[in-house]
Amino acid sequence: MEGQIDVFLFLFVGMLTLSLLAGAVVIFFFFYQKKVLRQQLQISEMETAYREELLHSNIEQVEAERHRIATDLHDELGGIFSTLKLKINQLDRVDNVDQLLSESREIIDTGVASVRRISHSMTPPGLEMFGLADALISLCKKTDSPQLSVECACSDDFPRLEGKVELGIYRIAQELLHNSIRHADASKIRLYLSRLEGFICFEYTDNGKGFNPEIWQSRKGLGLKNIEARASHLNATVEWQTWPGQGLKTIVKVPYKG
Amino acid sequence: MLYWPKLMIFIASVFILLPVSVSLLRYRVMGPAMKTMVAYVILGGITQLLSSYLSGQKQNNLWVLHVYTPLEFACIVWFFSVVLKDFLPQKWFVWAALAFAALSGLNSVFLQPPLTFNTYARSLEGILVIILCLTWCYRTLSEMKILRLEQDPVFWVNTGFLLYFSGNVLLFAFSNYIVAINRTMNLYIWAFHALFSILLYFFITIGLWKAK
Repeated sequence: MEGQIDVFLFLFVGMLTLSLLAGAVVIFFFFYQKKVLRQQLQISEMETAYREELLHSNIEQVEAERHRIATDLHDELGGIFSTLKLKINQLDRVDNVDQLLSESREIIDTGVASVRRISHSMTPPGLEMFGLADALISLCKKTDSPQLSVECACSDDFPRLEGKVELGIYRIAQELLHNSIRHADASKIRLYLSRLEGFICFEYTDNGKGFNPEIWQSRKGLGLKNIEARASHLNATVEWQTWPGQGLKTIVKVPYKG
Repeated sequence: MLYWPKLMIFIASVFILLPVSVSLLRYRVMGPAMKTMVAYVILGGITQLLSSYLSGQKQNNLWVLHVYTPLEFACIVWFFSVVLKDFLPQKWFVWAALAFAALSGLNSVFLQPPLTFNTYARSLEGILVIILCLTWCYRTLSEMKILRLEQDPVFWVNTGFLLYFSGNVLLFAFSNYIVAINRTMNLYIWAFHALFSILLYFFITIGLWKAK
């Protein structure tokens, strides 16, 4: 009799245990799936927020650029044309026409130079004709000074790239230079362009203040957001290597099928 | 003393009417997966009716189980072939159902005659169904396509099968042994089985109700 009870007890306990185990599997499965989905949702929300942030940063950048161009046009060309008008109005009232004409020519030359400068600030000079490498070398030369050494180098096999990629990298370089000069107190900057397997690599290094990347992740300024927005537009990756007091190294990798 | 086990077994035998009714009510709005469950519950209903009739006539009804087991397994495999169609080749399901039917038939002819429990076939069926249920869980976790599991009819059916077969696989294996040793305990253990049956049909009913 005792043996029979043992068999039934074994069966009852066995059935109960197995069903509890199955129940535990179902409960685990249910909550685990919910948790993973929640995490995926959070990641997706973060990505959306980041994209929105980039979009806003883009819009802000465009507005800032428009404002700058409007100011340049108003302050430079507006002034030049007003002065020119004044000179032309004086033509039939003064005796020394030659001097007036000579001054007017100078004003027109200044105007032409202003138009060229404004135009170059919108479309980098030489980029379209000579390519990214030459345009960056030219930019570096212009920025180079006794207080700030700016070098630019490029691997021998560096190719011409699609227009939007060249412009994108050029703008990123401009933004990085601007940041190094304005915020980082750097005295030495180096830019390097190279072609690697499957992508184009742009390396930017300065010996400025650097920053704490963990804190910075949550407080990116407009300039750095612009860099990421431009990189994202090119399907490129941006890597920031920096630490307070240790300068900054930025590596931009753009996919390239040569 | 035997009132409660008998009541439980009786409730389990009529409980099948609930999923049968829901499946007939909602048949039109169901997808292909849940339509296989309609076949399953109707098969369960007919089997229940037949075995109750034979039992009422004081006849041995265990042969019904020999016929029911491969058909039940075929229905379950059919269900999983639909819900796992993008995950496992359809051929596997067809072969599994055919191979199981063949093994079950051989078992009934050579090993366990129709007037005894077909414990080998039932145990094998239990193990295979548990594997199918876990495969669905794995597929669901790896794909993460279902946003609200509690709204998914397949989740309820899968849970019902997993609980029922996990709880009963031991009983299926020992059915012939325990029936001979103690009638009272045997009744209790089958009442326990009835509880799992109610749970299974309850979960299937939820699945059928949520089917779309």
